[in-house]
Amino acid sequence: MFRNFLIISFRNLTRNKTYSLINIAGLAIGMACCLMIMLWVQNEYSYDRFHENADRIYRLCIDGKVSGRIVQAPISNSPAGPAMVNDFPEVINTVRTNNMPTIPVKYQDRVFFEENIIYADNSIFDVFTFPLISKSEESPLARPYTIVITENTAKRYFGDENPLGKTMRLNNELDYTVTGIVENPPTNSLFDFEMLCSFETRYAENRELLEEWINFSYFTYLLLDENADYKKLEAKFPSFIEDHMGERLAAFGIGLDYFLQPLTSVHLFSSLEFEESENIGNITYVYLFSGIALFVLLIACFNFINLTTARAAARAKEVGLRKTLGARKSKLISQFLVESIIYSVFSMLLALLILEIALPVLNSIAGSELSLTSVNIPSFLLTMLIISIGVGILAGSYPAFFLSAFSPVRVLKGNLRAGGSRSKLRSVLVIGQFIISITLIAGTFFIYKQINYMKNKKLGFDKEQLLVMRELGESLQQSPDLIRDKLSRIPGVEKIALGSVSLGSGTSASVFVPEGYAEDQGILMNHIYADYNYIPTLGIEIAQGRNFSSDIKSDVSDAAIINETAVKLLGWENPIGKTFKIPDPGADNSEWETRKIVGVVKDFHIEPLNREIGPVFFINANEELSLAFLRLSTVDISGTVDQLKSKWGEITPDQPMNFFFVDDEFDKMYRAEERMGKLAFYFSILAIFIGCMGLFGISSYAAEQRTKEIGIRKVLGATVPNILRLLSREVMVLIAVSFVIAWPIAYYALNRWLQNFAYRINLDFSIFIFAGLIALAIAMLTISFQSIRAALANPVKSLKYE
Amino acid sequence: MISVKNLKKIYTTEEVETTALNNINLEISEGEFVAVMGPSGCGKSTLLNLLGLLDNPTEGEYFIFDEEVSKYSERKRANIRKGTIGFVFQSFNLIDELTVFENIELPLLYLGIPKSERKKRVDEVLEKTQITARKKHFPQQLSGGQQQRVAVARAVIANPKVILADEPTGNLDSKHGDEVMQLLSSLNEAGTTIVMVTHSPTYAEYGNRTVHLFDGHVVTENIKEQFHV
Repeated sequence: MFRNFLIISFRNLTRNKTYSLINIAGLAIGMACCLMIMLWVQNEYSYDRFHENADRIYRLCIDGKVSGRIVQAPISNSPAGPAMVNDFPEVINTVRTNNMPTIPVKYQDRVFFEENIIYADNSIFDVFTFPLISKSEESPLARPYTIVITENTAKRYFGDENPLGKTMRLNNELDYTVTGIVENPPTNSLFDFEMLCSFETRYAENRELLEEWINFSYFTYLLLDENADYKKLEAKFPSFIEDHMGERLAAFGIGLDYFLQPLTSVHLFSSLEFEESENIGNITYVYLFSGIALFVLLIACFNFINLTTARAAARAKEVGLRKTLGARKSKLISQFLVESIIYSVFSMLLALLILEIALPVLNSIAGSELSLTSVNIPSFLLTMLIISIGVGILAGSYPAFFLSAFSPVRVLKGNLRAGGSRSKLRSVLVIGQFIISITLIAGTFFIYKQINYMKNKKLGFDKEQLLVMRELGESLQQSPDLIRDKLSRIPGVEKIALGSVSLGSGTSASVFVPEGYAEDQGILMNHIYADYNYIPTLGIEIAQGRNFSSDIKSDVSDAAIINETAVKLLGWENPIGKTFKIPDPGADNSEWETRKIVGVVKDFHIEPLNREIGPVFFINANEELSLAFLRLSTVDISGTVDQLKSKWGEITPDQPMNFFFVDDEFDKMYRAEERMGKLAFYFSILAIFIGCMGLFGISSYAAEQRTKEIGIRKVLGATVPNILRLLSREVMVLIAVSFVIAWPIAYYALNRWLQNFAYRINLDFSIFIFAGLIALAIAMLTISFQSIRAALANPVKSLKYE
Repeated sequence: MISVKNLKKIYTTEEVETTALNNINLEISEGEFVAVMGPSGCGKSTLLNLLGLLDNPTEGEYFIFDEEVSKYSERKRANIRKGTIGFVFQSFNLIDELTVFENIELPLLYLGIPKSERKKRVDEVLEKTQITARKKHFPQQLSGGQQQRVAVARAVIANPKVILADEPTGNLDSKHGDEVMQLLSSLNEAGTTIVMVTHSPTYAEYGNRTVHLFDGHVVTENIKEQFHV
């Protein structure tokens, strides 16, 4: 019997090629989508699970209140970790890390800028699973000025040489000895490093700073005992804080608590300030794309159901005969289920092929490194089997029950009113497909619109043709005039300025005590050290007062400028001439410096548009200016950059020029959103494509079923346009209904997404309408082929052999 | 009113060329009732399709009200067809999803006649064909004779000059067949030209002229009597 099922299934499959193709291809695309997203989701969940102790590692975070501002951050102070190992028996070990800024690293004649250097305690090799390939000391990171490099880095600097024992020079000043080579960290790791420097080095550089409890600049990881409950440990933190730094905190007016983040949930569930790893994901996207995967698969299943029931008439006779010959209904149901599972398995095979082709494309869009080689083969095969059978049953059960319910007498008399164009279920499924499609189209539009809005929004300064040089180095920072003189002589350079902060790439905050307030009542405010050219070079507009001036010598020691938001926050009507105090950067915490406000600038965006503009103050300075800002003319920018490079070579021969353009930096910030937009775009195309394949199938059967009706109507005088209208009306109604349902869904979802941005677009209705019209146009185009053919057909033929 | 000269129709399939009609010459005057007879496959239905402007001849001329229509496009043919020609088929060809009333109303819809006028005319025709009681029924709920009466009603609703009937009694028993023939006869008496294909000599008697076709040729024409005016 089973063999008979198979034979019938295969013959049906090969006899109705278009139908089979639509069914199998549709399901395959749906499955490929689903598999792709599953791979991605699996990858997202795999982050940091490769560590043997993954379930026992926690990140120490602070929940603090500093100068009225609440800060939740994954940072901590350096003495805390070792003290916890000491105080709490359940804390077995600790690792502290500290990221280094981008610096040049040199070995002999090889110099590279390294972005991913981390200071780490030697315990990083005990707590985490970063296997050492070779080492020259038992504990390679135990001594100051030792460095462990990854395999890749070793190859880059040393080629075939043995790096162990060699000396590398970091930032042109300090020599480190290579004491170990570590495997490259996997991509699904919170840590992404090329080099690990010993944390001990930091002690050697400034022991006092490292022993300071009120200095939250480090990342601390704790390894807990197997039976430890981290919630219980958290409960012990308040008294720990009181014991070790209670008095100091009170003196500074800082409220502080610690909390722990399980390492395995950092990647997807952490959204804290001062996060430095770029490998932070977002659980919302995981949910979102899982949802999309499911929807695309559902659309494909709907197609299957639709097409199979539409073709019911063709199978009715077979059902009737089988029943007459004694088949029970259950036999027929299993026959049809076997058939749909066969379709499903074929689709899965095709899906694998699609997956293999599409994965590189997905990787380039999503910035991921997914591949089939990294999956666990048995579990992957099992998953595929489950999906195939699941989809087969899901898509096959309705048709199976539907077909097997035919009454043999009616069917054999040819009296079956074939599941023509009016089946309610079919309409519902088509509506379902178009709800998904319209939502995705609208989503794509709005995501792109938001990205565009962010890219083009006036930022309050001019980000075009603004080149920033970083890593000026100690010597250059001490002689700013040298840079100004040398570089401003290059023809393409219009203006040049020096400052501490580049807009768009991070901020730095300091306590700000307005006049008339006590020192412990300060406000935390972003600050920028700037020379007198900074504001005009960046194109920030002065609203009141004046800019810093090189002619007024006292500016460097006592002038400041604030932005409008700061004015508003402080509630000053006449800010010019007001004074404030800040901690003196050159001295201990207890000394204060007073500055007088000489000007107010209009608001500008330091941070990407998902953050609101905050209060900012500028300090005129000639030191701490680590960045040079060059406003270039639009003519021959690359030529200008080449000249800059050669000039730079003259000034600092042993260090390459490290620079970026501000507009690029801003664009980078929207990369996540852009990826999202691209993915939404591709998925909406897929959803529509699959939906249209189904629509095409249905419309061909509908047209076939209605041939007689069309013939009669034509004989009675209907014109081709009349007929086309008749055939399109139904689809139009379905799409109109889908639109009405899709609109609130899309509105709700997009509105939630837009909450991520402080500056956002409106959800104007016209774009929803546009999305609906696109869906309608595509659907019309899809059915037009069949409809036009049906409408043009000679009625004589359809009526002849009735 | 209808005049065909040297009409020829060839059907071409992938392998075979079939000459369905060859050199047909036929004149039909207004008010005539013409029966077309002949064995299966002699081209009766093809002739009717050509006369009904459902199809174009391969060769020859076709004048309807002195207008040469044999080369007309589908659209032009549909326009002439709409108000001039009514059809009755052997298999009734009613639309299953429409009620009796809606089926009959259909030609008027395509003529763009306003709703109130449509209702009036459909009611009149329902009356005339004695199916008023069934106007809300669907075709499957009717007997064959009733269905064919609906089809006739639909054929005459637009007051066509000519009704083309393709074996209107072929699917009916004699009682219902008689009913339909009476109906056609009375329409003819009221002035409608009728061309009817039939196998039944008895029903052919209803006409005032019989055209015999054989293998695509007109073989004989029997004129029973001069048609009444």
